[in-house]
Amino acid sequence: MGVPQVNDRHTTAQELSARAAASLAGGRTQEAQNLFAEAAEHEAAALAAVPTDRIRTRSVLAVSVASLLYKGARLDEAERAIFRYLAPGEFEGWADTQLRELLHVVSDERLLMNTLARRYTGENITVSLRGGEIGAGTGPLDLILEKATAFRSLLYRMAEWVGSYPLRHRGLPPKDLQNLVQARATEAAVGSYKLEIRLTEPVQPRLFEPPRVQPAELSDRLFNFLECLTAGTSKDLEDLVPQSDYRKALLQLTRNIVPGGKRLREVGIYRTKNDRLQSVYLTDALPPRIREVIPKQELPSEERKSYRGTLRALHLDRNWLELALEDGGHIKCNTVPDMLDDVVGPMVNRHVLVTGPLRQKRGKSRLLVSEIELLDEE
Amino acid sequence: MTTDQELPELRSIKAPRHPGVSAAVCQAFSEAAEVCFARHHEPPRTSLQVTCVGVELVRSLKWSAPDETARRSWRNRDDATRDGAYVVSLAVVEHELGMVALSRADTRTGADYYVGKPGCHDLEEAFRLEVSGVDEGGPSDVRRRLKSKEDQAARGDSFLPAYASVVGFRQAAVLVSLVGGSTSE
Repeated sequence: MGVPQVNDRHTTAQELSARAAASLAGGRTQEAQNLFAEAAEHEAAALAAVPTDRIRTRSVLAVSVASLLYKGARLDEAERAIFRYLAPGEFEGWADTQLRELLHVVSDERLLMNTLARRYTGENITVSLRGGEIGAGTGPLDLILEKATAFRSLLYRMAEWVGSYPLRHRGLPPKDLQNLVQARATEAAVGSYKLEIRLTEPVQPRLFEPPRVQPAELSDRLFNFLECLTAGTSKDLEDLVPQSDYRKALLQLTRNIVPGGKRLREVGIYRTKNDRLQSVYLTDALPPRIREVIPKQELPSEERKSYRGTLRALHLDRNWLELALEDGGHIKCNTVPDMLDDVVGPMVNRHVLVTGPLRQKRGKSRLLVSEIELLDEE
Repeated sequence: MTTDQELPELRSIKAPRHPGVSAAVCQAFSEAAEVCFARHHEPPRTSLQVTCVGVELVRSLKWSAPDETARRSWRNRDDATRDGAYVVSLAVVEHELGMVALSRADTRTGADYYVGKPGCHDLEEAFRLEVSGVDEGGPSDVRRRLKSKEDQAARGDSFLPAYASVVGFRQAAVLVSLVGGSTSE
C-alpha cells in the first residue's frame, strides 16, 4: 500500500510555512509566527499518519514539526514535542542530533524570553582567542574576562554610533541597548578559546518607535569597521566613521582587544553571512596602525611627551590620572575631557603608555593625556 | 559534452509533477531566478554550463524578463539568489537525473528539499538537496561554494545521501554533486 507521505496535511503545512517565510521577509513577525504555529499542527498530523516502519520519512517530519513550533515561538510545545520524539529512540541518528540541538536552542531562548523579554536574532559573532597562554577551550580567566569585556564595550559603542546616540563619556550604555548583546562561551577548539556573541531584540517590538539599532546593521558595521582598519586607508576609515569622536572611541576600544605580549597572539572575529564565513584577525601588527589613524587634537607646534608606567589612580570627572613610573616615582597628569571610562577603566593597575602635549600652568608643565594604551605584558 | 538540450521551464517546476513545490512557491522562486539572470544576461534564453555528478553539459534555459513588480519584490539580492537557485537546481536535477522535488520540510534555520524518482510515496529512498546561489562570483567562487555545500551536506547531523547544487548566475553555471551515496541507489 502506498504510504501517504506527501499527504494533504504535510502539503498544507509546507504551504503555510512558505507563507510564513514570506511574512517574515516582509517584517510581519507576528503573522509569520502564527503561520508557523499553524503549519506545525498540520505537520504533526502528517507525521501521525506515517506508519512507524517508515523511519526516514518520520525522522524528517519530526524535525520539521519541532522546527515549526520553534519558529512559531511555541517554545513550551516545541520542548514537549522534542522530548516526545526523542524518548522512543525510533528516529535516525541525524534527526536525533538535530532534535537535541533544537532542544538546546529552545531551552536557551526560553530562558532569554522569560528573564529579559528578548529573543535571539540569529546575528552571531564569534570571538576566538589564540596562541600564548590559550589552550583548547581553556585560558587564564583574567585574560578571557578582559577580552570579553573589551569586545562587549566595543559592540556597545558601535551600537551607539549606529543608533546616532551622542557620544557617551561616562557611565553605562543607553538602557535600550544594554540587553542587545548576550555572550556565550562555546565548545573547545584545539588551541583556541571561543566566545559566541549573540545579538538579541525585544520579543515585543515597539510599533511606533522601532529600535534605533538593528542587530544585522550593527554586525555589518562592526565588520566593515574592522576590515577597514586592518586593510583600508586612513581616508577609508574617515569616510566610514566621519565623526572624529566616535572614530577615536572605536579605535581605542579596538586597541583594548588587540593582543600584545606573550599571553595572547591573535584574536579572530568571525561571522557567517550569506553562507560564507567572514573573518577579521587582530594581531600585534595593529597597534601602530591605530596610533597612525587615531584622531589627534593637539596643535602641531605643541611639544608631545609620553610616559610608561602603571595606572594607579584616575578621576575622569576631575580630568586627572596618576601613573607609577618604572623608576619608582609617581606622576599626576591631566586628561582630556573626552577620555572615555570604558577605554581607561579596564587599564587600572595595568602597564600603560600615555601620550599628549605638555601644557604650562603657573610655571609648571604637566602632561595633558590625550591618548592612552595598554602596553604588552609578558 | 552534450549540448543544446533545453531544461524544463522554471514555471513548470511545481505540483503535481514536483509534489514538493506548490504553485505559489514555484511562481516566487521563478521570479527570483529571472531577476537574478536579468542582472547578467538577456532573455529569452541563456546557455548554462552544467556539471552534474561529474558529467559536463551545456543546457539551454528559457526565461522571461522580470517585470518591475518582480524586481521590486526581489530587491533583497541574497534572498533572490538563494530562492532562484532552488528552482534552477530542481530544473537541472529533473532533466539530468530524472528526479523531482518530493517534499519540502522545515529545519531550525530554513527548509530542506528532498528529491527522488517520480511516484515515490515517501522519503525512504529520497535524496536531500542542498542548494546555494552565487550572484556575482566567477568560476572559482562557484566551485568554492560547492565545496562548502558538500562539506555542509556531509556533516554528521545531516540526512544522507544528498545532492549539493550551486547555481552561479553571472557565470551561467550549475554544479551538482552527490554526497554520501551513489546514483544507482
